[in-house]
Amino acid sequence: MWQVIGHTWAVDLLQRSLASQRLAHAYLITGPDHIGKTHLALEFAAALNCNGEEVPCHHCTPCRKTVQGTHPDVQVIEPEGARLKIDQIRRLQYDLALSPHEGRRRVCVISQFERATTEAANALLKTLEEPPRHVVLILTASDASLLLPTIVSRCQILPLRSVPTPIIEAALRERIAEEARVQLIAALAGGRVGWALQAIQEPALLEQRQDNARQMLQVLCHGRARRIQQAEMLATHEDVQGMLQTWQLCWRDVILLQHHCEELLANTDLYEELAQIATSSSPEQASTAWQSTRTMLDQLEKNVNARLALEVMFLSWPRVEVGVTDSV
Amino acid sequence: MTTGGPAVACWIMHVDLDAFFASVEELLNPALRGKPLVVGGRPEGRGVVSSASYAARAYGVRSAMPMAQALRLCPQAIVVPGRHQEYSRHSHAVMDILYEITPAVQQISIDEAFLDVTGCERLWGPPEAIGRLIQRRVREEQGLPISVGIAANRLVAKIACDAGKPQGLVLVPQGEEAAFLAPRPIETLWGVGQVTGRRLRALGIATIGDLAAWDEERAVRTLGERHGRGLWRRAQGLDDSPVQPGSERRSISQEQTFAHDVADRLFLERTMLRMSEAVAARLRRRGWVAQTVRIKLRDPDFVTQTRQETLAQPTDQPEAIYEAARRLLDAHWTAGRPLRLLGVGVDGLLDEAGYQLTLFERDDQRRIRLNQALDEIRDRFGDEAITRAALLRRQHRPEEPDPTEGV
Amino acid sequence: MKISCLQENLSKGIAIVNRAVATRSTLPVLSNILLSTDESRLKLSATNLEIGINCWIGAKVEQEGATTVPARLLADLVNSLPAERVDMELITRTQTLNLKAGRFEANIKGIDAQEFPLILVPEEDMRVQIDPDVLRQMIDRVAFAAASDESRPVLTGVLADFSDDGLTLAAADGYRLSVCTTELEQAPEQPTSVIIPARALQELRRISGEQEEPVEMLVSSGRNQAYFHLKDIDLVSQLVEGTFPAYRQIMPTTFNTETIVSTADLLKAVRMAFIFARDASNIVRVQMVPGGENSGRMIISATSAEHGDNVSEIDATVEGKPIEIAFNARYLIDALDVMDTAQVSIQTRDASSPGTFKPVGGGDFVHIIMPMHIPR
Repeated sequence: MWQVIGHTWAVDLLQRSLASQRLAHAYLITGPDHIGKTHLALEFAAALNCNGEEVPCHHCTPCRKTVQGTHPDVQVIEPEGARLKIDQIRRLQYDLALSPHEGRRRVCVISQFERATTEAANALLKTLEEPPRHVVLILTASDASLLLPTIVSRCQILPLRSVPTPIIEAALRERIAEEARVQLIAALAGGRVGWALQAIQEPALLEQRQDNARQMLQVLCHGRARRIQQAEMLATHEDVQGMLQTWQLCWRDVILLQHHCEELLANTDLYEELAQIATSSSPEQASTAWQSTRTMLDQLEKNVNARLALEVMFLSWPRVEVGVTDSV
Repeated sequence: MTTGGPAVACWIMHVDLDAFFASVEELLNPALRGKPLVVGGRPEGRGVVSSASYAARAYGVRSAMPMAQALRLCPQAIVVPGRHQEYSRHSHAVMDILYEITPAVQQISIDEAFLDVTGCERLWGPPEAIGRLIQRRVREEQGLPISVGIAANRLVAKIACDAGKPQGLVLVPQGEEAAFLAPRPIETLWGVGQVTGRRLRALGIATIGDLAAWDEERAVRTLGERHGRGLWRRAQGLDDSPVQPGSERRSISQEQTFAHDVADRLFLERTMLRMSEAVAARLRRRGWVAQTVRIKLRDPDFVTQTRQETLAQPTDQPEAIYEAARRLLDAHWTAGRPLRLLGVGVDGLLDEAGYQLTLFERDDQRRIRLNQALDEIRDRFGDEAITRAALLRRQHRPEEPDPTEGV
Repeated sequence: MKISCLQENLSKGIAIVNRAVATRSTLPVLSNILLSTDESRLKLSATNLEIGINCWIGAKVEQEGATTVPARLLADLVNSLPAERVDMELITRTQTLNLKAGRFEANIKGIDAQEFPLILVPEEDMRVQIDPDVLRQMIDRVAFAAASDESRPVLTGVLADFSDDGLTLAAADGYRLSVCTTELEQAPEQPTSVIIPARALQELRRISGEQEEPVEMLVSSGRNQAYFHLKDIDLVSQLVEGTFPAYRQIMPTTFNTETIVSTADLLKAVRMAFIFARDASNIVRVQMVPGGENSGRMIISATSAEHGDNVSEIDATVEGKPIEIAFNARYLIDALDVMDTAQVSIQTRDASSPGTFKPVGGGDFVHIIMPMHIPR
């Protein structure tokens, strides 16, 4: 049984190609962060070497080793630092040329391939062109358009989309009892299964989000001068990107509230504060603010000066008196 | 001799293309021949003369003179803006001729070079014959006038060359260096600029011979230990600075600015192929091999990007250069991006080198022989078209990406 | 697990399997050695997923079992123990190996043996026996020609071709090729051809040491492993997948010049030239001047732009046309080093065709080197 939440069509497709023995040499799984790309890849890897009846059985030694990350024929390669480097690909290429050690196939999952250097991508191209016969390569990337077209054209592409919230809720209910938390986490996950599963294990994730939201509420209360101060302070925050994602979701909720779509709210625990923002700002202001978070997320990718970008963004936000206390 | 001169007679040659830019312009537009021609910036701006034909020089026009002043001296002068691509193409061709005489070539600038022809007699005859050969080949193959100075060292060779301009050939016999220099103005000597010149003239020294007549100690006392001793030695016609082959930046490249911006992949590849061929031919003429290949891309808004790749093995073959250039284009150019300029070049040039032939890609040997044959044909007929066609035919291999993909 | 053995045996066994311990793996258990009881012996195992080695040593087994412990730690520890009896006991609950020798005691934290990759004895598909001296000589003559650069994995391996003619080993790195054949006492049931990593053969050469009994070689039915059985030692190697280049096609069939020369003289001359060639791409120029029965000459020279040049002349028997050809000095030295006969024969065609080197009277061995192209 595949232990994958959502992505049913992708599982079906892989299952069918396993059953008919018509495997591609290379797969490319695309989709946003935390959506379950690497997890799907590893489930597939387990299925490829599984000794059980219904693959992946999750009971046999190969399955167990694959899931634990100790299967000698299953490798996961991630960027070393910011980039995936050519040396990593070269090392891999030699390993792949050897016959599998104990499984039927050597499987290599290369995650975040959009972070491969051009040299690394070109080196891998060679393997994709003439793959050793026992090898299955699974690349993951946030978007196929970020890869060399020559790489993409040699892979079977599985574009994963956000997992519908009800499916995430159902999966969470199997793991935690408290319904309010189930709904909050599922709503906040915004389709990111991986994030939801992480959130139930690491309460800190939720707390971090609350802190982030509180920062936003504070900015809205302040005038020009203090907003600039806050921009300077937050620019050194360890996860500016995460902070922006929270803010983006908050503004999305504000817009939903302004259009009376309470049932779609993600930050259910912040209902009161968000409702206050919704009533004391115009829909234009809210959508401008939402747009500003999006712009800045794009800019971050291009290594923009975070402090300046934050300043510009904060100054474009409306001023709203929200009933929150200044916290530390 | 007062100090230990070289035990073996050295023959150093200085060659300098006469009024180089102006001569190229005359070559490209024969109607200008013999007319006062000035290459440089517009007089309205703050342009200066970068080159003047001898007809213009007759009016007192000199290089580096403000254009406005030049036109006051010679109002009928024809002013043309520079075409540096043409000049560098001719310069490369002339340097190639020099490298065929000897690898000991030190290029000083776009239009001048030193050659060490010591020991070349057996191959090419006495130094004077070598000088005549260079003058004849540069005139016949490139249509350009060149002056030659020959002497025991670089200093005297350079002054001899200047003395014979234009189209001169001056040989200073061994041992007659000091006598040759003696009557020349003191400013002719390397190391005598405006300041030193004025000082020396104040001390009654107007010619090199005047300084040579001093004793060495006096020169040192008057002009300082290093400077004084150096000048005094030079005034005697002594100079032991060696000709340093290739001390010019060692690289060979070709680039092309397109008449219209180009985004067509096939066209870019063909351009690279042609340039790779030209670069490889120049490598082979000089007997060099290159370790690095680079490409240059310039966008319509003049943003220029240079990317390079180090080859697994040095090469002088167009295929290897082209393959590397194409990999670089693959990696650094996205389909549809228009380019204003494209260039292919090689660096890391080695002269005492070779490369290992491979066991499995035996095409190597056939290609090397083919390229050797093509070199000979080109040498004889100067026809580039043959090679291009031969290379292009190899282009359409089945694994080639669809050429229309990039459009 | 509870066992006793002698420190000397344990130390020797560790040294043998240590070479297969992984140095760059993401699996932590691969930097460990697996200790397990096997009837009345202790079996030591290590693998880097390319090469696996098992080594058996005599032991008194009181209680069966298995564990893995860090290889470096175990080796350092055992090597510093006195040469006496070592008692080892596994505390299963904590996966700790308790080790006692005389008045010395240590506890080593291990990883569960379950996590250790399996080193299986393959289901046999083909089995041959080879004289150990012949095998060692063949490995010496061939394995060095395999590529050390991993960009073409197939070339890092040695092709082992079993047929009615015997066993042929071949390796090539793209610039040179070594081919060596020996007859087998018993022909294999069916012709088989596999690519064994050169590193595995070099390890085999090392651990076969002074063994005098024939080495048994098995190739597994799935064609994914080669297995070498020695006395008290097994070496299992993964195979390199892919197609080995059709090397027979590139072996020269004709030549214009044949030179026979003293191996030692030539090696000495090339080594001397190498001193100058080192900073000139290793280029050594070789000139053959015809003349029968040692009245011919070989002139070996190298030039360094910075350091000068060197020329040596040696007597040779040169038949055919005079030729000048350039080689990489490194390749010449490597080849001459394994020519274990007094004279070597060199066949050449022209300056851009491969040179063929054979030991005169030294069995079925051919080494081929591509020359270097010199622009001028």
